[in-house]
Amino acid sequence: MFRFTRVHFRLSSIVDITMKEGNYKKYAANVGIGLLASRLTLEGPIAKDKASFIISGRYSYAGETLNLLAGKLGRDVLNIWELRNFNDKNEINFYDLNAKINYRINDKNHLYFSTYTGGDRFYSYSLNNDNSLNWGNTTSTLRWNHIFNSSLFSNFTGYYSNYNYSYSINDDLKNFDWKSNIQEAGLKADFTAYMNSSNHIKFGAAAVYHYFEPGRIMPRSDRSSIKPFALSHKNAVEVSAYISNEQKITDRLSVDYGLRYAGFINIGADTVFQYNEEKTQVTGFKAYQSGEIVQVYQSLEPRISARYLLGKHNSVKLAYGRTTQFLHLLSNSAFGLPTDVWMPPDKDIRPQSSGQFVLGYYHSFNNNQYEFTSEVYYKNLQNIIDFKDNANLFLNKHIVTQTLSGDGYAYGNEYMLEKKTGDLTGWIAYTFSKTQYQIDGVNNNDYFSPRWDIRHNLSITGNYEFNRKWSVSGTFKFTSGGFVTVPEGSFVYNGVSFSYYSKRNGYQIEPYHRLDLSCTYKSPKNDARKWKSEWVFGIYNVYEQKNIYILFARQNGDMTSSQFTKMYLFGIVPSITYNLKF
Amino acid sequence: MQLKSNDLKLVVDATITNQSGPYYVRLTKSSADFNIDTSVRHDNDTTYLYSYDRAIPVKDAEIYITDNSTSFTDTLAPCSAGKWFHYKDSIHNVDYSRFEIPQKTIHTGYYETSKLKGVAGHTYSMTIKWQNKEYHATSYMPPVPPLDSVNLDFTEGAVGKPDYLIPLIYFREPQNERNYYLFITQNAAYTWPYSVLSDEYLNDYVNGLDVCKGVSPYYWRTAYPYLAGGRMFNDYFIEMHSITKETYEYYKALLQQFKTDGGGYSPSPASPPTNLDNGALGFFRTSAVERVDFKQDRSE
Repeated sequence: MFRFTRVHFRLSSIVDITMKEGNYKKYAANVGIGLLASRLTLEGPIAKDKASFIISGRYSYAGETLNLLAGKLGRDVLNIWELRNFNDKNEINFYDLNAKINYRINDKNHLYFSTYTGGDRFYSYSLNNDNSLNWGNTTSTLRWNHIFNSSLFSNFTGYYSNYNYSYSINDDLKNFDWKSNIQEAGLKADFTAYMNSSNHIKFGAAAVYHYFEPGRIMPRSDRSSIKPFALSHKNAVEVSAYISNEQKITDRLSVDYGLRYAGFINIGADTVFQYNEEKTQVTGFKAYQSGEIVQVYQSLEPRISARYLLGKHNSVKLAYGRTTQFLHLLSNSAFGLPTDVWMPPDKDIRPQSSGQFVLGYYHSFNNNQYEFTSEVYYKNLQNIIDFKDNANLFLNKHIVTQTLSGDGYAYGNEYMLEKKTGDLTGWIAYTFSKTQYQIDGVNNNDYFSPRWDIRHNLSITGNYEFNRKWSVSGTFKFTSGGFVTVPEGSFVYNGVSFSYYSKRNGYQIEPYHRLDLSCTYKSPKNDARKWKSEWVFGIYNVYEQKNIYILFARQNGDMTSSQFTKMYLFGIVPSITYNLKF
Repeated sequence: MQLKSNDLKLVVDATITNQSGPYYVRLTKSSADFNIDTSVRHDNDTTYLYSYDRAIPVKDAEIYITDNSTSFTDTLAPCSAGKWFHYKDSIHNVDYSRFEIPQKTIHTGYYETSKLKGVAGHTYSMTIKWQNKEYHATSYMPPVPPLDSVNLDFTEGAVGKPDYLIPLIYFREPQNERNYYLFITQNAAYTWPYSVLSDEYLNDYVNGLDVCKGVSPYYWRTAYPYLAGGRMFNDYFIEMHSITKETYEYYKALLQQFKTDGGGYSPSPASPPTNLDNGALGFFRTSAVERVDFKQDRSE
């Protein structure tokens, strides 16, 4: 979906999570207990009508559930043959904790403080038994909302965030920990001015300090033969300013236009390497003192969006926008694991940018019971990054020698029909999209599909309320398969069969589809008592579709030939959740 | 699953060490089949039955290897009989040369050198002529630092599994140069007993490094020697080879293919980066060796 937000820009998918405010009047709680995770929310006043809090936490114990079901039950009690070598040492956990405090100083001043902390631990014996991964992040925000007068509003925000990634190599004597860390501290001011009934101006400025620790290793025991090593850390400052106006030109036509300036400044101490033209050899380096400016990138991001009301219930929209993303995500995994590293741009790895056009049509009918949206978009991408074959990223201070860069484009259309009211509610959404990259050095410099180039995406969701006690809902999803790199053939070397490859992402995996159903029971006593409860009985993957999670080639057991392995994660999974609210 | 069958490629498995010759080069063809039924034969060649893998041998090639330091060129001859392997235990100074049964070698694509002698510090060039095409590779043989000792560390096995020994090696690591090592140990069922190491993060004295548990499609298998009745069940050896950066990267890519995640946790899979030209697969490895042997205790 195309939308502009004033949050930090990333080229695709912007997630803007605004947490709800705690209740100013009375205390409330919300509990959910499930097979894979449980959650708890508490909220209430600190000083009545003045200050409130909300705190909520989740804890997932998917690893324990898996160990118990597949290990203790499937392997030990039911003796399921496929699970005979199942190892029940899996650790798949995550937790998160959100807290928010609101303080109403007076009618013109509000203070908000929120903090989030979360962490994950992932160790899967069958997926990757040598490594265990940990990641965690903490972020805190303080916001002062000030109303100057009836036409000028402002928000002043200060925030700090800290992301930690680490993994341990468990291999006995080489054992070591790898750690990486990114910190961000920012200040920003945002203003909204209601000039008159047809012009709403928004403007603001921000400054963010980034600190990157790209990676270090430490031996985990005295017997480890590894010596400690760290890549040097990096500092950068990002500044930005924007102004935009939401202008009503006629009763039917409104335009939203704006301009954003952003600058990214790499700051020393840093050592900048020089490379040969092919970026394969280091030819020299330059050292910068602490605080010295190493590199400056600047961008101007214009955007304009016009909406025209065709009638009372339908409208069209036309929009264009440009964005620049300074930070690169160096993803060395297909799943977007948090071990992926965000990296500042440098002399050789330039910022990514993109421009996007959108044309949309919106229609509501039957007294706004139904809403129909359709959009067509086209996007071009510059300076996208991909890895060379057999790239070595581990503690590598010459990342540019392992990467290639190029351009790309994406286009598609989206349709959605939603029924918003009545006993039956739900939606049907379909998206066609195509994304192509062109990177010199990959696939003979031809256009190719990135892994997530999903051509068709269909989702149908329905919820039917029979009466006050019972309701059912169902979700069906269908997506085309992504693109993966599969071998062209196999060969024998040192007595063992290995694979060789030709084309990157040259093979499209099978489509993914799945049906989930659930049934909710609300106690009739809920009306009469203070606390409300409900039971949710669900079936995940009703017709047990074996959707491919990973496809790969590797040696047969005797290692003298190769075979393909298709891995799927979940078959049919029933679940029961009990929700409690008081 | 059958992929598009392209032209099969030449696969070269060539090794020169500083142990005594002859040295062997094996030529085979790549395969486009996956998940093949093991009862199906690939070739009309009856000798195929003797091979322990299903690679199709290439028997009509010419192979030349030149020692660039002495300009001596050896012409390799197809070898159809069993072959001598020359091993020297560098710590106990004992020769373990032996003649191996022909089962693995008859007509399965092996060629042997006649007079060539591998010397650490020399560079070797190989030329292969096959079906009107020429393939080349050049490789330097880096010297290997002496092993101080190898200890076998007793380790209790998991419940129901035998106790086993973890081989730990000790040597002084030359710190003023970048070194790469390849470790090979006694084979064990369903494991490939190879591992590689770069000295980038190594201390100057390597004080008991577990070099090789081997890799296996079965994650629970290792190549560690195990004990039966308190005794080592088989003979065991450990070899430390000094290798070039290119060899290190080649083996690293091969080892990566044993990781079971299908590239999920790693960049797109790619062909191992060979030192052969013209589209050939495989590698020309030249490495100097330190070797230690452990004999099975057969005393009463």
